[in-house]
Amino acid sequence: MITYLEAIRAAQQRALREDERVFLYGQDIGRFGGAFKATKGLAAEFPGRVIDSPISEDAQVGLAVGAALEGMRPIVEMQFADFSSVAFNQIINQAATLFWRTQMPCPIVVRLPSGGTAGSGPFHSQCMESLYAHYPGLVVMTPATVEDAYTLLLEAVAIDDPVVFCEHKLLYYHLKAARLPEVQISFQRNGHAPALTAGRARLARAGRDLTVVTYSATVHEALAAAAELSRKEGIELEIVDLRTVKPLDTQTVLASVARTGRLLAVGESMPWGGVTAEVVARVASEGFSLLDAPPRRLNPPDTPVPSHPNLWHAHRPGAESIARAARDLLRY
Amino acid sequence: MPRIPLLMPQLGESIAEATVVNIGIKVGDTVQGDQDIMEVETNKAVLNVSAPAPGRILELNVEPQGTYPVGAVLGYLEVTAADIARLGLTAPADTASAHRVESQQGADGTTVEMPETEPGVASGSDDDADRPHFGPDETNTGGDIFPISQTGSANRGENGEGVGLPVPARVAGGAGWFSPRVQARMRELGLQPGDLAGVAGTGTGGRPTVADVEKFLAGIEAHAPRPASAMRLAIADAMRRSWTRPLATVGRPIVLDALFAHRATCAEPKPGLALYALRALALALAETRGAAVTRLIGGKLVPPAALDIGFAVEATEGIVVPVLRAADKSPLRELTGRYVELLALAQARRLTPDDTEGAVASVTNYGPFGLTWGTPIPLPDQALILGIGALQKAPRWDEATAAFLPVTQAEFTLTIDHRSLDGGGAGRLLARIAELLAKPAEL
Repeated sequence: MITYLEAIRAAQQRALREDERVFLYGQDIGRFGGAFKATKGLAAEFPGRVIDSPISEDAQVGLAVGAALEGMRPIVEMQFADFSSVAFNQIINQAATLFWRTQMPCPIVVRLPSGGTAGSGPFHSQCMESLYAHYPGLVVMTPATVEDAYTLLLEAVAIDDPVVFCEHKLLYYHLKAARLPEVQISFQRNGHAPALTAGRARLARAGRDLTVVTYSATVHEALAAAAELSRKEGIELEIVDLRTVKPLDTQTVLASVARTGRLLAVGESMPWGGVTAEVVARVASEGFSLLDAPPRRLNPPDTPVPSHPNLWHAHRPGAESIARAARDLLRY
Repeated sequence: MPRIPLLMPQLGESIAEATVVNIGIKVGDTVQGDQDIMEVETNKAVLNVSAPAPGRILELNVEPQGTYPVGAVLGYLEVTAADIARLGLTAPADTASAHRVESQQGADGTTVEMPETEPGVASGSDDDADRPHFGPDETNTGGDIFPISQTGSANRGENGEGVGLPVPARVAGGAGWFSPRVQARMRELGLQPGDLAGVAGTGTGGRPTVADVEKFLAGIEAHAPRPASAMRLAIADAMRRSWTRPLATVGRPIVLDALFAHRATCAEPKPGLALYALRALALALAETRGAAVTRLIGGKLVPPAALDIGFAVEATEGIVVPVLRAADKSPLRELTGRYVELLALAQARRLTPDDTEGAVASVTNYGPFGLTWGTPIPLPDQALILGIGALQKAPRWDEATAAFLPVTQAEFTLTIDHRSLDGGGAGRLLARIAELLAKPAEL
């Protein structure tokens, strides 16, 4: 069995092995193996290519952008997604706009250990995908499965665009798969794989009654809600896993809403604007005549992520609140 | 002392809400644990809600006949800390909420709440107590969707603040409301709202969901439907459009002995009763320069260009209405030839658009079907329709002989668009028609 975290490590290992332009840069990622051990053993295996950075996210991404300009393909690890805000200028002003200003690609990957675990509090729990998705030039990946964590990270390294890779900490150790998927990818051809997974949503569960569009860890909450509703109430949810929130696979979402007539967009980032709002806006404007009920969203309340475990559970969309929202929407 | 909410219990697997039918307690009452405090009615049964613990009723948030979802807070009960411990509930030591009472799930799913802090003020250290904060942007959270079907008292805030216009309960749609999806499907299939009258909607307020509509349509297929004729569809469409107007029907009997006496003297082809009525209508309208058939459209009065009058003829597939042009300008005997000609064309279904368009009013004789009275619908581009009921022998008081004499009469109805014509105008028009029909030789 391989965990979500091990898949992330394995993808970095393969990228280092197959493309000499790849290097890793982050705080304590060398000998220590990273805050979550996503780079465990890699410093020894690839001497000089798994580099400890100073405690400056700004400097980390700044160096990576410069290295990308020189033809390298750096992977930057943030200790926590929350701290990426320190590097905000480098990510959104430098990396995101570089190609559009200079025609020079900026193939960096910024890995964001995202989302909360009980008790982590407001500085170690945030989901930042909605924020980064706002900026043109960035690709924002939000894998929900071990397979997608592996595949998408390989693609993130291979493609020429700067990628914000949001990996959910709740999935790190508990989410497991039997084996890693076979991924055909050529780093030398800059991600021109037969068909990229990035940008294509996945049908995580088929169902006739209501479409839940979500991504990352809440896919599993939605699946749990769906199992419960199916077992107890005969309600069948269809679950679309966006995989990458940007680019957003509107067609797959619309195709699902066409089947069910109802949309519930679920996300773990803050409710004001964001991915769920974008999904609802697109379905409302492009799929109005598909809707048999108002398109709805479920996000955490508009407060910082609380520290207390009970409050944290109440704050985050979970199987229970998803089931409640779905049930309510089905009564419309 | 802490307080616990009184919750609408889960009343059955498929029950989402219940209506309060009887409240057995009032605020301030002391209740025993498991004491029945109110009766609620679901669509299946009347059930009791009981107090979860002994205590005193602090607050009741329900009204008789109000409908509340499962889990709704019906009120609050003040209980002892000992009972909370005994019942396995855990009370949070501190509530750091800015705006709302934070609830804590107890072991048995019951929630325990601590007294509310001031709204809009974050509790925390005393230093911060007087520093206002904006509460969470609740309109955008999506965090907790309000139950759509929650009804009952509307805009009362949690602390009784917010006095203003009553806010409707979140009842979506209603029976006449079609979702974008249903509307799109109706456009695709050419369905009108009336076509879906047979759908008992399962959505909120009886709204037909798209699933209801599809089920209904699938059910129709079992009856081996066949396409309707173009003529039937045209009539259906005309009647539906006309019915969007506020139509009113008035009627009165008109004595027809003089008319039939006159008709007996006429050479073939003899004019029929409908033609007499049509001619009388045209003359009566002409006397007031078409006032009764002047339509009101978008704030403008639209007088008739000519007093062209139609007459309804039953053909194989349905009613057709050929038109006699300028019926006020030609005497009855001249109209008769054209009338007979149009009648034959109508029955042979050989009428051209020229024969049927442009009338300002029509006459329909439903008497031959044995109908004494009706409320026919004028064509949508016409102002009114004159209806003729079945002939009846009736006694009429005769002053000269001081006796009842038998007369032949029929009820005449006038269906009008009440936006442009009132009962008085309609009554005067019918009275004038009665006078004209009493002197048939002058028609």
